[in-house]
Amino acid sequence: MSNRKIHPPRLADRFLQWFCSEDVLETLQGDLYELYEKRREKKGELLADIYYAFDVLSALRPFALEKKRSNSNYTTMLHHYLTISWRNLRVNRLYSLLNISGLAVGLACGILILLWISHELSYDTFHKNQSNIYQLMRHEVMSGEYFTGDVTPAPLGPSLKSGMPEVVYATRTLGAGKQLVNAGHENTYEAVLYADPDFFNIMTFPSVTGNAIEALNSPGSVVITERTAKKLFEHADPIGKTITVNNTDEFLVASVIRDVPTNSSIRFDIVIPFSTYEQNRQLKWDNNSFQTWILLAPSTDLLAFNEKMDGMVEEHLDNEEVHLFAFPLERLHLYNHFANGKPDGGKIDFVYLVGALGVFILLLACVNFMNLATARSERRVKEVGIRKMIGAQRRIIVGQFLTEAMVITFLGLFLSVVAVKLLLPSFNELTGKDLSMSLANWRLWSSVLLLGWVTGMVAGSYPAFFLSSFKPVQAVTGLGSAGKGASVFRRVLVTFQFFVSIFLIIATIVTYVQLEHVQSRPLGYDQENLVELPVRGDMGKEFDVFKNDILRVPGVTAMSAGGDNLLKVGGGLTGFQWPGKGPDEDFPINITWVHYDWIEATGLAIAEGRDFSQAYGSDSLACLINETAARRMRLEQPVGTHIGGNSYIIGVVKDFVFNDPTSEPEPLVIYLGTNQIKHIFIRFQNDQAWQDRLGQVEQIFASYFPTYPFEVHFTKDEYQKRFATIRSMRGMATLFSGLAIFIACLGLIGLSAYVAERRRKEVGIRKVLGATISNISIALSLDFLKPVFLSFLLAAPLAGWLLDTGLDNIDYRIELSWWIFALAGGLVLLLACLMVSYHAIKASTANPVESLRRE
Amino acid sequence: MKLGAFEELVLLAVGSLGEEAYGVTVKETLQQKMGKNPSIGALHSALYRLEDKGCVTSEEGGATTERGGRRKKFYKLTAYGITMLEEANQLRMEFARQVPGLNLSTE
Repeated sequence: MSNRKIHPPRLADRFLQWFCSEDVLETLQGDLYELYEKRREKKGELLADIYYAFDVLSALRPFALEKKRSNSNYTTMLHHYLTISWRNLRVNRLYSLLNISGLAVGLACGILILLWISHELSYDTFHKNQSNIYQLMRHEVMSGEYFTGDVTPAPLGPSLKSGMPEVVYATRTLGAGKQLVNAGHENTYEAVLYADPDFFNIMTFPSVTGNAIEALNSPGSVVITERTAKKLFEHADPIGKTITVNNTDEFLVASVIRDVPTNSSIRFDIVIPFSTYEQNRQLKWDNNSFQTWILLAPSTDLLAFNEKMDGMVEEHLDNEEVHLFAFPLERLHLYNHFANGKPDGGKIDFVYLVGALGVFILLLACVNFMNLATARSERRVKEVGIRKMIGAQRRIIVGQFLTEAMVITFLGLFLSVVAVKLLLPSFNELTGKDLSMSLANWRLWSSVLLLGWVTGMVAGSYPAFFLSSFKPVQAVTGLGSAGKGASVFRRVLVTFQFFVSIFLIIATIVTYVQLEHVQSRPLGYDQENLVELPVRGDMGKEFDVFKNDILRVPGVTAMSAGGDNLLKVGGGLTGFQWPGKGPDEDFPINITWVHYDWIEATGLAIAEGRDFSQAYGSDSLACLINETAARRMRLEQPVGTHIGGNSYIIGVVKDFVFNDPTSEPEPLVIYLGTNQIKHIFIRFQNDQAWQDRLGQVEQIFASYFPTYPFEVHFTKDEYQKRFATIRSMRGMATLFSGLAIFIACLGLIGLSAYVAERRRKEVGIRKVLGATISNISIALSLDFLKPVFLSFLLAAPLAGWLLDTGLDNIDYRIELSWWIFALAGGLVLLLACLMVSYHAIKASTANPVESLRRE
Repeated sequence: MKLGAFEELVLLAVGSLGEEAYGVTVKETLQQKMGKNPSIGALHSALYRLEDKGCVTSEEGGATTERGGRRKKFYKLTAYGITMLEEANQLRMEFARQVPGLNLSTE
């Protein structure tokens, strides 16, 4: 029709066609074109275009939209579904409340667990080269047993880079722990990492200012994180400023990098060139103190590469079997456990466990929904029947009930998101994590939505299927019973809910008792009134004079020092010699160095022989061993025996707890090492005046070491900190089992309310015939307690068996006893009784006239 | 049912245009006579409202090339529309007569 070309702006035109209803479009668009044409002639094309766009927007009014909306069948149906869902929600307040809160609690658990898992899975993913980064690990073979670790000798990194074409970059790292750092007036302790320049080629820690790689190339420079820069220099530019580490070494800040993300396996505040560490030390192949990281060329065949370098460490050592292999960084956080040389899971097991827990709790909430929906089915039977007679297909009724489920689920989801937002800080405290729910994290939000959708589908599908199956005639006349099959199914579901709840409660009680058991384990030394001061930098030099002054403080009974802090004793040494050692016999022996008076200061006990003493000049060649070492070396007369070369045993220390507080004592050999001081131990008299004494110690400390902040650890508190992981696990177990039982109880309330109402007439008749209130309420309650009994019978043995298997991995464990199960069962039964009896009593006290009058 | 101020103007414009009243001409008339420049959306919205109220009837036709072959919607004043206009006018005149010193002479 149109020969002349008019082009109003296409985008605006298309928009108009999109929103405008058919009947309005024709004349409206015609008017717009005509106006456009006139304006174009008068005012030019550009202005006409602009006016056109404005005109299109001005037409965005109800008159243009209305008819379009009502045109679609789908939107009408959806609108109808939503209306009906909303009405049903409002009519049955109690039912809606129970459903929504149950789902909200379940979904809140789900979201928390989702957050936690996604944090665990995100470890180290921020490295751009993540898939090609490997850490070198070693299997060490002793007496046929494999010990796997990540410590490697310093020469390995450079020789890998020069000798293996597959290795693009290689770096050695040494985490030196917290060190005293000062700049000007600021003194802090920061985590120091020694690394080669390639460190920043391999890992992705973007720099803010300066070139981090060049910084590590020049000895005397350091790289610091933004956080540390702010601490030391506040707002001043840190580049080129001097910082002092441990009061001895000075460095120039050459680069500032972004803070290490919380999901990084490697953590540090300051990076010092590895060459600085190497300078005055002879680092040979037998010194395994370092981590080695490499970046492999993308196409490298890992198996072939591992085979090629298998013996790289071994060839430099005599009589030791060491297999080297590259372990992918991708797997480092979650899969880093090895059992006898084979990969043996790691944290991933815990992730699966927690994930399963989340799924179960969500299932509980879904089960609630199913239960309540099917229990109330009789109320909806007539509605379904009438819908079907009018012509609704089954598909449409399914759609309706699914929509109802979705509405309830998403209301619950909304509540749960609010709840998680509020609870996140306490949850972080409980788990020791730093989880957050930021709005920008679209992946999180889409998985939360998906979680809601799946939950809604699972919860809604059974009721929808069940309710839509009624035959219209039966439904309307009320002849067919909708109940039988469904009521059995409901019982199964309730049993399942209580099965999970009882299982979780038993597990929670067991973790409580086990932790209590370990915490009250006799330690073999006295943690009370014992404090420990970490030795920083060059503090050790003045130890003897410092000790003399401290001992003068009234109430200080003993003071000593050592290389380890009693709780944790350094790595195991292999290849140790003792008389009567078999040719293939070997096991790792823990070695530690201590100062004089160590036994007295720590409160350990000597089983045989004596402690180191200044009265004997030759004690530098002497050593102490613990009872386990004596037993495992099968020494009948330990005192006087020569072991490990030329040292001889002067005493046997009674076993005490160190390293893992749940495991059997490990063999330990203790040397006198006055130069190896890392920790000072001070024992106070047992009374209330310790605060004054600590103040005096601090004053003396400050006079000796004015530049070091005074740090003090109470050994008892430090020991308790070792249980933080277990305690946070226990916290999570308690939280989730509490929520599980909460959800199960909600379900029980709903069901009992429903049944009590359904049996109103029956109750009325019974009362008229002479039944007492207690008769009736007991009869009503028992109906519900049967599934609880059954689930206890199922859950208790299974939980007992699984937990017993789990406890077998722990040396110092409790035995499961009957009272744990009785407590769990009793608790659940009590709660169930409370929930059920409310409605049972209410029903049985109702006036029978009320219930019988109607009809 | 009352007419809104804008609706009244649109109705007057439709009446004054006779056979030629459709979106664009109504808009131009309003512009010339009243110095108003209503957006096309507001105008169409008012016309549809007037049709719902029964003040105007419409008839489609008169596609032209400059309209891209799209039809016009011609509006015509109904008897009810005329009554509404008269009522509105009368109401205003009665009210205005009570204002002293107001010169009400037309022509």
